[in-house]
Amino acid sequence: MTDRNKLLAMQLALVLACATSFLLRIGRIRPDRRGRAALRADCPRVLGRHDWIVPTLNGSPWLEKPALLFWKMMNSYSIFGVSDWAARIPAAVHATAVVVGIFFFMRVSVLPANWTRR
Amino acid sequence: MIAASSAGMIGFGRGASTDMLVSAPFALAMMCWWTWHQTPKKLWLLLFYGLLGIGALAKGGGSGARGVGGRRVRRARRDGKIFLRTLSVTGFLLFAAIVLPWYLAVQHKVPQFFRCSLLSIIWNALAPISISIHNHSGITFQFFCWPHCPGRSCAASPYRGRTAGI
Repeated sequence: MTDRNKLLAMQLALVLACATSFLLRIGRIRPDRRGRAALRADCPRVLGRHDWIVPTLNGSPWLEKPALLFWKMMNSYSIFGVSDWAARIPAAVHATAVVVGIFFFMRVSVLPANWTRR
Repeated sequence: MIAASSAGMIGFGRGASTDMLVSAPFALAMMCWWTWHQTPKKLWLLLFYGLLGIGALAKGGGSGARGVGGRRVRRARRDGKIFLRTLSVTGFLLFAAIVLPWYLAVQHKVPQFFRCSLLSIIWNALAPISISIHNHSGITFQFFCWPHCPGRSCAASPYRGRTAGI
């Protein structure tokens, strides 16, 4: 197997591992406390009134955390429709980004720099 | 450590956790920092600050402070100047450009935002020492949190040994 094919096989294995770890039956895990609050947030209502600055919970501002989570959830809702599953997609995508990012950095930067000097 | 980290990532990634949205940029920012440390190209340092800004926009300013601090790596490498070299005016400007617009927009819309945030920070800092353990069921968690601090230092020690040439 050539180096290029080895790399492709590793990338495919990575994608499969991420898909099964982060996306398979994603709606069945109980979210944590803040995750529950985020899932209860009024993102669908905010989508309707196009106010992306102040996240709300039961109609009043919910500013315990900044708005990036809500922006991502609202994007996910607008792509996949309003559902519990769609609300969990941003966290899963971030977890996948970490795995892919670590793979990239280990391959490009960290491993050659560390291991060739010893 | 790898097994524990993987379990945590799967749990946070699947659990609609808000922590995943700060952990991901923070982890990638640390990798960018390491790449900058190995190959001193300023682009990696700017990416480091940009990712910290994204983390701060997902979870609050603590992400930036933790990242720039780099205390553990500084101690591990026994190089006190790493912190000073990490500071960058352009980086801070990039961080502010990512984070500040939303905070200012919210302050404009909800005038009590900064005052409430400040009170919340003070409350969170004082809560572990101000609430009686007998009157608050949730506070037990705070006491169980403390033992993990020496654990984290122990976890960093193999890395420290390796980098010190042991």
